[in-house]
Parts: sequence; C-alpha cells; structure tokens
Amino acid sequence: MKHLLEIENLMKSFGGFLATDGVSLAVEQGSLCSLIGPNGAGKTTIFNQVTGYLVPDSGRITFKGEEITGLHPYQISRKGITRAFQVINIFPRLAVLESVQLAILAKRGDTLKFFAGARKMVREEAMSVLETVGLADKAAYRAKELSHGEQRTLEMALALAGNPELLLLDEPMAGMSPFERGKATELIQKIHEVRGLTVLFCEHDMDVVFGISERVTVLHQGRVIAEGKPEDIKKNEEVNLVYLGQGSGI
Amino acid sequence: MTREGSRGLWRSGWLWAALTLVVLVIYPQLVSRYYIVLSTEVVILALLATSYNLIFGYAGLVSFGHAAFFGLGAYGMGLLTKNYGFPMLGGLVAAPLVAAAFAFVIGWFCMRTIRLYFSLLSLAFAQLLYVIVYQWTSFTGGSDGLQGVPRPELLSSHSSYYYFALGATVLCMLVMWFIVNSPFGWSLRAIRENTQRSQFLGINDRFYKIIAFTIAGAFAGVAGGLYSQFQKWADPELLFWTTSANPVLMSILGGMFSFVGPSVGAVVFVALREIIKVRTDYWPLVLGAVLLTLVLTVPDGIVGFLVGKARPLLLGKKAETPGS
Amino acid sequence: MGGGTDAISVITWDIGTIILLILAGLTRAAILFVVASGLTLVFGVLRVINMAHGSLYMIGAFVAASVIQKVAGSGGYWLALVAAPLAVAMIGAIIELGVLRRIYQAEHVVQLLATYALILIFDDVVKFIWGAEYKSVSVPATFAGALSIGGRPFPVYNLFVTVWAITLAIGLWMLIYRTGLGRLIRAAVDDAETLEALGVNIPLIFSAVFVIGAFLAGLGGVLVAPLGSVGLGMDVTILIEAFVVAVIGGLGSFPGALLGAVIIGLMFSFGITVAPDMAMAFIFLAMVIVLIIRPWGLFGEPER
Repeated sequence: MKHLLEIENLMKSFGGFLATDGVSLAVEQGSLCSLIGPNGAGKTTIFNQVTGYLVPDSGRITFKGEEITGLHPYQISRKGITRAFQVINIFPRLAVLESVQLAILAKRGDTLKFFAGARKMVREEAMSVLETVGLADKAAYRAKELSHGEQRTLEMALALAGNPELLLLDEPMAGMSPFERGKATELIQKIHEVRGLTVLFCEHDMDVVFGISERVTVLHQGRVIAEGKPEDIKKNEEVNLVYLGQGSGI
Repeated sequence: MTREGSRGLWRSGWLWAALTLVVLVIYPQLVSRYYIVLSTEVVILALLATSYNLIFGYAGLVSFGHAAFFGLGAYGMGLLTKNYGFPMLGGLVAAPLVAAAFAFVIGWFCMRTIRLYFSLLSLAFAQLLYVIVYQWTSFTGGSDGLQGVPRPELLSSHSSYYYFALGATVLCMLVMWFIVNSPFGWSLRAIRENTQRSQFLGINDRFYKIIAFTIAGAFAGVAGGLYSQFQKWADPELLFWTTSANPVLMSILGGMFSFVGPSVGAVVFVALREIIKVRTDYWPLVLGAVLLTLVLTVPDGIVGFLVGKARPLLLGKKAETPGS
Repeated sequence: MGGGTDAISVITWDIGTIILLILAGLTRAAILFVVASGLTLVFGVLRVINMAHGSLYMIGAFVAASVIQKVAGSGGYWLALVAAPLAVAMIGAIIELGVLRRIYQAEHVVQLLATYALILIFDDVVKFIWGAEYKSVSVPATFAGALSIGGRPFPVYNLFVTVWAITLAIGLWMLIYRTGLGRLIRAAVDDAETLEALGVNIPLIFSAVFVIGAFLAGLGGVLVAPLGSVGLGMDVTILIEAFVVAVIGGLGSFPGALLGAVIIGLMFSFGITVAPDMAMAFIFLAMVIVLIIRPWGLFGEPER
C-alpha cells in the first residue's frame, strides 16, 4: 500500500457543469498536504466525494487500499476519515465535552448502545482531545455559548475525536483574523506531529499553505494543473497565471 | 456533610425523583376518589407525552400522528383481553408490540421525508389508521368504540389501578431515562442539532430515527393499553389527529428539552383542564389561549424557562443537569 | 335488483348513474377546491400552514346560516354570499396582524401549534355565539328543485356550486396571472427579500394574500351551508380533506388544488357508492402514497 488515500480519475458534473474533471490525487501516510485553487475550482466538491456526501460519476477513491467510492458518509467516517467543515457545523445545544464524547463513540461505532450511561464513557479521551485543542476549560458550556473562534476550534476537535487516520480540513482559516490564523496553523501542525495524523486541507491563504504543507496540489476548473513540493509550485508558470491578480509569484 | 456537599445533594436529580415518587405514592391515601381517578389519567398521559418527546424533543421529529400508537395500544389491549382472553399482563406486553410494529413500518416510510412533509405524512398515516378503526365495525366496534375492556379483580378499585398505572409508568420512564442518557440517546440529540454533521461523525441517522420512532411508539402503546383498561373502553377518537396534538402540547408546555418536561406538561394540562372545566364550558378556548401565548412568548416551555434562569448558577459547578 | 348488503348490486350501472356520480363528485370537488385553494395560496406565498383555515370555513357557514335565517327568501342567500366571506376576511386580517406576523420566521411546528390554538379558540367562540346545535340551511328558492339527469334528480343548487367554483377558478387564475397584484404575489413567492429591498410593501402583500385565503374559506362555508348541516366539527373534517387535496395537488399550487379537488371529489363520490366503508381510507391512502413518492404533489416543487 503506497498511499493512504488515492483518488483516480474522478469525474463529477452537476447538470451541464463539470465540477470534477478527471482528478487524480494521492496522499501519503503521515503527510501534511494541501489542495489549492481559485474559488470554484472544485476543492470542496472533491472533499464531498471523498467523504461520501456526493457520489462521483466515475473514478475511484481508495483508502488504505480499500475502495470507498460511493459509500455513505457514516460508513466512510467509520473507516477513519474525518472532516472539519468550512462553515461551522457543530451541535448548538450539546455541551462541548458531550459533543466530543459523542464524536468518539460514533467513530467507534459504539452509539447503538441503549443502556450504558454515555456521560461516563470515553470521558478522559474526550478531555484529552479538548486539552490538545485548548478548549478544556469550556467543557461544560453548550456549543452555542462559545465565541466564534472557539466554535471553529470545537469544529476541529470533533474532527479529531476518535483518532482518525486522515483528517480533511475544508478552508480551516476562513474568516479568521491573522492572530487566529497563527493559532490555527500551530494547532494543525501540533496535531499532525503529536498524533501522527495525515492531513489534507484546502485553503486560500497562501502563507499558510506554503508555510506548512509538504506537498501541494493545484486545482483549476476541476482539473489538477500542478502537483509537487511547495517551492516548485511557487515557481510554476501556469499556477501563477491562474492566480493572476494575486501579484507575480505567489 | 459540608455545605458544599449538601447543596450538591439537593441538585441531584435522583433525590427529586425519589421525593416525587414518595409524594405520588402517599397522596392518594389522603384525597378523594375524584383526585385518584384524575391522577391515574395524569400518570398515563405523562407516559404518553414522555414517549412522544423521545422523538419530538430529543430527535427533533415533529410527528403529528403519535395518537395512532396510543390508540393502537388501547385497541390492542382491549381486543386481546376482551375477545381473545389474554391475561392482563400478556395484553400489556402485546399491545406495545403491536404499536411498535406499526411504528416501525410507518417510521420507515416517514424517515424518507423531511420536516413539513414528515409531519404531514405522520398525520396522514394516523388518519388512515383512524378511518380503518372507525369503519371496521365488526372488529373494533366502529364508532361506538370497544366497550367492556376487562380489568382483573385485583385492580378493580380506583386506587389499586392508580398504583398499577403508576408502577408501570415509573418502570417505563426508567427505561426511557436510560435510553435517553445512553450513547443512542446522545446520538438522537446530535441528529436533532445537526443531522448532516452527525452523519459525518458516523451515525446512520435514518436508521436511528426509525428506531427512536419505534421505541416511542411502543411506549405510547403501553400508555394506550393502560388507558383502555383504565377507562374500560377504547374509542376511535383516540386515533384522531386532534388527540395527537395533546402530547405535542404537553411537551411544549412543560419543556421539550428536558426529560421531565412532558410529565410536568401533563400535570399542568390536566390541572388546568379540571380547574377551568369547573368554571366554564369553554375549556378549549382557555387551552387555545394558553397555548397561543406560550408559543408566541416562551418557546422552551415551563421547565425550559426555569432551567434557563437557573443555568448560569449551575454552570459554575460543571452542571450535572440531567439530559437536556 | 337483488337486495342484500352489496352496494354494487343495488346500483344499476348506466350512463345516467355515472354522469350523476361525476356531477356529485364535482360538486364536492367544488367545495374542496374553494377551501383548498385558500390553504394552498397561503402556504405558497407565506409558507405557513394555517390550521385554522377550516375554522374560518366554519365561521363562514355559521354567518351565512344566520344571515339566511334573518333575511327572508333568496335575498338572504345572496346577501350571505357576499357578507359571510367578507366577515371571514376581516377575521383573517385580524389573525394575520395579531398572530401570523410574529411567526413567519418561526419553525413550522410553531406555526402549526399557533394556528392549532386558533382552532381551539374559534371552536369555542362559534359555540358561544351560535350554540352547539346543528343549523339547517335551506337551499335558496332561486336554485330550488332538481334537474333530471339520466332519469334521476340532481339538485340545481349543486350545479350552481360547481359552476361557481369553475368561475372562481378562472377568476383566481386571472387575478394571479393577469393583474398587477397577481404579479406582485408571484414575485413575492420567488424572492420576497429582493422585492422588499425594491420598496415593495411586503407585509401588506402578505396580509392581502392571507385575507384572500380567508375570504376563500368563508366562501366555501357559504356554498356548503345549504348542502349539508352546519355544525361544530365541520372545521376539523374540512381541514383534513383540504389538506389531502392541497398535498396531492402540491402545496402552493393552484392548478394542483383544482386537480386534487377533482380527484378527491370523484374518489369520494364513486368510493362511497362502490365501497362505502373504504372510501375515506382510500383517500388517506392516496395522501400517504403521494407524500411518500412525491411529497411536493402533482404540481408542486421541492421545498427550497
């Protein structure tokens, strides 16, 4: 098994619009990769297909050597792929700790238990996740009571819960202030190193992308136009053209 | 006991539950038959409302056909014990099974739709069952209802039936309490809060909703079975859609986001009804006015309102608020 | 013909019977259309299910009954035909201002409960004003008597009701598609926010739509008054039937309400004759099937 995640020739169209046009992508275990591209390039569509929210028209997606194309989101999640969303996608009335506990239980497939008290289950593990992301002191608060930045962190915590092997981050820096971006970048690096997670994220913020990615894939109009190490991508002519208006040289 | 410890004790839900139980057991000895009969009704309705809240408050499914399972339980119990000679306990086990079977099938279909259409479909199914029960005179007694549902000798007095209903209800509530605080119960709340995210966490939401619907239907069936024994008859109106509105009302009245809310709602509902009915014929008017005011001003119900006030105080101590 | 309990054997099936059944079904469809169109209009524009729609219908019937009682002869009926819907429309305006305005943004369950509360309130108000007995309203003299169709009598009044409903359908269609108000309403369905930004008085349009819906409910009440008995409980039965019609046709769609009404009306009149015990069951089964297979009905669109 060479790569943790392999996408082969993925195709997806909506009506007449071709959102994914023969995309192939491979993510190595333990790496920190990013997917970039201008708005509308199709990054979120790829994520949606990998996580089962959309079914590709054709092509294969393989995870740990096993094909996962077209499975349900809950099935894919059980296999070890989790996702943090671009828009905050949490459980407003659940407490922070409860949300993380539930995420761990769900990941383990332990949620079909009717007579075990959930409050005591996986409590330490959930607290340790909260400590990693820095939300431990807000454990009893309801998610809707948190500040915006804290909710984004909770978003991350939910994705971390249950020890995923592949973490997909969909524009994790969106709408953040530079200070928050710094903290978020630190957090991503921390969880990548400390937990040995493979991370694939898509992002607009070029500083972040080139700062921490090991490999960068560039998407444009549903197609991969470049792929490689950050330094090489920076120098790539076509990529620079695509990002015209962002200044010469990214 | 330190001051800290004693305050902690008072905050324990179990203590309050025990106290309530003691009151419920003792007080029939002190009051007249009218109140005992009334309390029996309250207990059964509390069971019905709590069963409804499993899908309404906890899973966020607005069903308008819950009365169907109540009625099916009532008729199931009545028919089995009267026409087929089932022993009472057998009936009380079989009736919820019947209701659960219907709930499973109906739930399976209903979970294919969302929101408004879900509500309408649950309503349509309930009406369909109502019409069938109403028209199938040879089997169900039709519009006259099922008369003469038998009650065992042992439970023939008002207070003995009260204690029986109370016992059955407490048992059911305990089971529901465990379910609600289990990983399954937590999953329901997550589904309510954010269905898509719960899917991404690994929860097969459609399957869970069907299970919840079935369980809720089963407990509604128990309530129905108790009710038909209590009244000694079953009536098609039990399945009519306006009966479905009552558990909704009680859950909202008492607070849909807590476990005891629907029971509180049941108490308030019946108490209000009796107080008003003494003074005037126009109880629906008062009910409507109360409901309207409630809906427009306090969406979280009575318990929600009180808990909302108390939460800031509780938060300082890593709240042990049950369920919610 | 052989007696017995089998309804089918009692009826002689010939063209006359069939035409009669169709006409009877269309009469029922007419009433259903008038009521369901109001319900579906309110949902289509305001996105609110008004459970109290049946109550408005009932109030229309009772007002009509009173007017006809007080004013002798056919004049009473014609007066009622105008006065009752107007009275109900006014009540509708009050409801819209007092209750609905607060819950437009609320979830469906809140709207359902609030309007259900109105059912409870109106039920008792009607009981208070008119008492609990059934009222019998006689057919106006102008339409008394029956036509002979296929050798059997068919009441003239029923024909009038059917014709009225068709006229109404045409009138409503013209209102929606040929007038400025109609254009505004259609635009409001598509994008109320933009319209408001353009300076259109959306709250006023919403009120107007609801008042029209109430008017239609009241009109249904007047039309139905001489057809059967007027009494408490007619609000609940018509509501459920109007629901079935609106859902099958598609919530928010006029042609849907028309088609749905015709389908249900015919199902009922033929059903009652062929299999009286199961007629209503089939109708609800139809609603169940539509909601499962195509929830937005024959003419509706999936909810955004």
